[in-house]
Amino acid sequence: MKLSYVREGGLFFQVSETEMEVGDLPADLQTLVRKVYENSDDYRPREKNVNLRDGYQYRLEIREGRKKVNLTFGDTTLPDGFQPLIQYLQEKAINDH
Amino acid sequence: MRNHCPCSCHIIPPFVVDKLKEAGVEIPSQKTNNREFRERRDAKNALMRSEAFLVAPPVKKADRFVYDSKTTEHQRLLLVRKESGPASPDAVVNTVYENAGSVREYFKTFLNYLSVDNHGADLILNVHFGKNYANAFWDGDEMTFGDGDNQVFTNLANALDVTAHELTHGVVQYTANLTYKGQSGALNEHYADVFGSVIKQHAKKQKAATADWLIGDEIMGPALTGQALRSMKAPGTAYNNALMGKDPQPDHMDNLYKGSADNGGVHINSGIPNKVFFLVATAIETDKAALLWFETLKTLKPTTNFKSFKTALLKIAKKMANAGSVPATTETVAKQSFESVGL
Repeated sequence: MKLSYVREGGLFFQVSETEMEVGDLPADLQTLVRKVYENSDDYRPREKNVNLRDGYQYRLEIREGRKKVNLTFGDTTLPDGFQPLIQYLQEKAINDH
Repeated sequence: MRNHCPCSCHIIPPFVVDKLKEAGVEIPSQKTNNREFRERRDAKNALMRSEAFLVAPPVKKADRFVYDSKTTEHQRLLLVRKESGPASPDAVVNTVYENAGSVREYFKTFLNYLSVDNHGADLILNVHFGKNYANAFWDGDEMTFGDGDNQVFTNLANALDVTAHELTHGVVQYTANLTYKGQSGALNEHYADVFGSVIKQHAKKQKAATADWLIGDEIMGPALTGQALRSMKAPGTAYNNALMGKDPQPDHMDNLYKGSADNGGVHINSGIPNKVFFLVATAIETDKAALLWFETLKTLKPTTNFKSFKTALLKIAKKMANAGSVPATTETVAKQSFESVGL
């Protein structure tokens, strides 16, 4: 299972991205990602905040075989419990760079 | 953040929850917060459309409320300072409170405009948002500031121009409501930079000729001293380093960014109108240029592009010059400034 992460936006033009095997994540984050993959509709934001200015947009893609799950969040629509995952992926994106 | 999890897991560290409970604070879920915000906004919008509102607008005074997010991603978590209340032991709270006051004062005194909506809406400010969150944003209702990562940015709540930038996004939302995409989005960012710089210059008692015209220079990390987020005087020269890359802002239509990233380059192409503002302000002084830009903002449509912005601004310049509120040369100076960036 593969996970792709892109963070765009912010006060100035910047894009951070990374990709990794879900199996290489810490155990608690693996559990979260697998849960999101299985129940993606439960995590999908119901609405986009069209008035968000300078906020980040986070895009996650989880894929295994032919099944692909895409989710997009903003700073104000990030689900509870996602902060450690985003922080981990952001640090990895910086190190990759 | 929204609580989608069926369990009662919470992102707020237990020790923070305990402390808040000891202080008698109940922590709402973000879902509850979002619903409440939406309901409050719907009620406000309904009121603004009502006859009663048109006859007698409600009396609000743009009161400031500062909340501490306690390094979580929750907004309006813990109220730590409110209008006329005692200072906080937290210097960041007091700085953002004072900075929001300076921005409110500028809009009220020089532009006759109260708060983000001109009806004195409360000014909500969240500080210490997220862990090492190196950003600040306006979300349609309030401003939110991270502590920075101490590499690219230090605490974003400490800079007057950043607070002015975010609050101006609120003003734009309630006036022209420029669509946040492509050239109209770049104009939205441009206006936020204009009043970020104008209010910083006013607070520092600077003139157009002596100002540095930098945005965000006071929040740059320790290794990036001397750099900034943007330069209105010389777009494209604000930064060049391994952490941020190179400033991609153009200063001429020949180099207009046409890609899809950054909502079609809203933070990139704003360099072009930023340069125009710098040129006009240098010729007629910053406060006069700010007044001209603000009066123009009130006439713009959500889809205004650079060309129609120029047309609108020249029309207002002529009108204001005839009324004596800007120098007689303003229309000519503005026309030449637009031409110099290829417009």
